[in-house]
Amino acid sequence: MRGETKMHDCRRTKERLIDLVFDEATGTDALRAEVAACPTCRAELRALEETMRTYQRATDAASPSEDSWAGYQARLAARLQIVELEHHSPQASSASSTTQLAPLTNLSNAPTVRSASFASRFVGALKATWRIPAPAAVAAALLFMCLAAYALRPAPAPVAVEPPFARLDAPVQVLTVEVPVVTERVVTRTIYVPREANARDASMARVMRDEAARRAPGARGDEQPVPAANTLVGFRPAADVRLRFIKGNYANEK
Amino acid sequence: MRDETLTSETELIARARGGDRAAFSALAALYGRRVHTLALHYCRDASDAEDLSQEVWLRAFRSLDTFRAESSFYTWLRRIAINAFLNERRAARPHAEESSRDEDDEATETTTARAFDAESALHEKLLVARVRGALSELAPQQRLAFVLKHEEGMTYEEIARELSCSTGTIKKAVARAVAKLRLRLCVEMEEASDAANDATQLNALAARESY
Repeated sequence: MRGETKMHDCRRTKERLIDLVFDEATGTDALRAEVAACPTCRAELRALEETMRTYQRATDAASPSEDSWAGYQARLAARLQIVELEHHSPQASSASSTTQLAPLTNLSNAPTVRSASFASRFVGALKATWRIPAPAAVAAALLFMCLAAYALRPAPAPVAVEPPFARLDAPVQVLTVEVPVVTERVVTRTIYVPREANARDASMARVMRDEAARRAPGARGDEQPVPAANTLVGFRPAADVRLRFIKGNYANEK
Repeated sequence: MRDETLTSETELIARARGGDRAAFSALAALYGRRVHTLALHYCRDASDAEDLSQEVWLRAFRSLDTFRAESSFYTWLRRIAINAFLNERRAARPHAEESSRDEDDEATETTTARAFDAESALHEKLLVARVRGALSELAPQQRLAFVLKHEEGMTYEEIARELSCSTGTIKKAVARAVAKLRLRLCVEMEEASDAANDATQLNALAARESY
């Protein structure tokens, strides 16, 4: 509420109310008088004080009971003992060795040996613990188990690899395999046809040639003897030449 | 009496620095409750608070050689506690999203554990859960500033010095904490406010009648 007094400003006063709650403000009396004159600021201050009273009631309710302090002290003493064993054992051992050399030396006044021995450091390293997240620990354990299983897996059976010539002392067996080879061969034959001969003479000459070829078995067609009738005497080239090309292997050769 | 206490404290500190664990335990018995209360108001639950407060004592035990008696032992110890609180991840993690669930859980636990005084116990537990829910919505530094102000009665300047920030920041943090608490506890505040108003009106009426 504005205008309660001449210089009063509720918003600015409310910002300073927290100082009244904790008795922090300088000029507290003037502020209290100003708040007392304004119902709104007074209600606000009352609400803040009630908040802190409720908070105090809650913290009282949450505070541990008197019986729990004995257990708390016992647990703290146990943790202190562990810390003392971790950090003071090297000094104690060093002090005891010093005592053997100088029995009159007071242990509490003995100089502290800062450098820990290698054995104590090793023992400390064995007792060292690290806090790591549970998922990371599980993942590390699984990885370790997988690596261990991989390292300890049974060795695979050796695979028998036969050399290409395993038995060199075996008798050599020679096999002949006929492999048909396709080649090309050009057969050329020249046919001489006497122009003056008539068809009867020509047919007669052909019959004689075939008969001669039949009488000479094993002879190839191109190697048969030329009959006497087929001489070059009186030869004249034919008007047309008929060529026939036969392509194929030996079996199909004609 | 105070001189005797200081003498005994100084003697305990000297013995503890010499390696006397019993003397250090005696110091812990002297200030243990105070440190634990700080941790209890800063942390989310009692187990975290016990861990954190004991961690403070362990740190103090390890670094007892660094105590120079330039300040009181408790001031030195409180500085260790502040560092431990701010460095503690569990205490610094946000719990705002868990606060409402915690209220239900704690209420359920209370009803099952204390059937004989169910209503008051439930009321207290809900109150504590609301307070913790409100504080958990604050940043760790803001929460710590409020706890130091409320529990330790430190001035804004002292808190600012300890937390290495400005006085204005501390003042805003405390005001924000109170505002959060007020928001969470608004039902009871309204009831209390109404009751206070009623009481004021009754007193006014009685004064008027007496005239």
